[in-house]
Amino acid sequence: MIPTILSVDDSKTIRQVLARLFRPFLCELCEAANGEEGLAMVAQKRPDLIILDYNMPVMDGITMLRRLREDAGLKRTPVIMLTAESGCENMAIVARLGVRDYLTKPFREDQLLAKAGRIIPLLRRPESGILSPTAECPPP
Amino acid sequence: MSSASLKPDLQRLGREALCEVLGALLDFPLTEGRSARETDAESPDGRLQGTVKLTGPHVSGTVHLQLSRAFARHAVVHLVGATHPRPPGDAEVQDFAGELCNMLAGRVAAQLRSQGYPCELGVPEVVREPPGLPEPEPGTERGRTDWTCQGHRLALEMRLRYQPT
Repeated sequence: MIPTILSVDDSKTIRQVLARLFRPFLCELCEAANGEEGLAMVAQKRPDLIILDYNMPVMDGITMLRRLREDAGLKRTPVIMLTAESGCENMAIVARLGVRDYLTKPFREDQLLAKAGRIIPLLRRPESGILSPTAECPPP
Repeated sequence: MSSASLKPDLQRLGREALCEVLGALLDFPLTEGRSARETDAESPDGRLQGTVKLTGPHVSGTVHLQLSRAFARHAVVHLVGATHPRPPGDAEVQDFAGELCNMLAGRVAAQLRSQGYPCELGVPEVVREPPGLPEPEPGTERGRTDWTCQGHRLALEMRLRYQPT
């Protein structure tokens, strides 16, 4: 079983950067554009890791995180939070909600890979390119 | 906290935010000030303006980023990679402008917080062909910094109003 990563960010640019970043690894990457879509995707895909933006319209990251932690079946899903602001007071709340790690945007790509690699196995995809990282994902 | 001598230097804040964010995100060389050749580079494509609101108990205001669509398109291709299936469209270019403004506002907010002015970020808004910023309301402090990056002009302007404590 290859791990599934869910990227929840209202910025398509950031979602595309994450797709490029994880493309060389054996994983399935799915996307959602806000917390509401993110919760629906979590229920459908049961991801092994969520990379979650903090500040989003419709439903922000902290609300999605709270909802996730209220669900007995999903509350242990590991989350890495992305935030535009370092040192934000709300990050203390996020930490209490069990976020495994967080990064400030713009993040260093090697740091995000290292943090993700501590949560899920990140094995490099064979160079044959037979497997497509998003083959099982619905289009965003 | 309300003493003017303790108010942050907005121009320095903006300068540091732009250098940090663009350096980490794109690693493009930046030159402070306007370059003569940038006008030619950007004029065919028009400009974008991103705005993020800052709201806090002692300070509120806006962070505005002005950039050319040509620069935003160039940056999206750089970020997303050569495997991007087509040239980025308007929606992607505007999304990038909003996200970049959000990151810059985040840096500004972090600096304001460290100087005793905590504030939260709003959701970025982007407009095409901005008519220019309106005159600030009385009592608003402004800081503006202009840069040239890859032949394109970037400008960051902060407008803040401080509430007495």
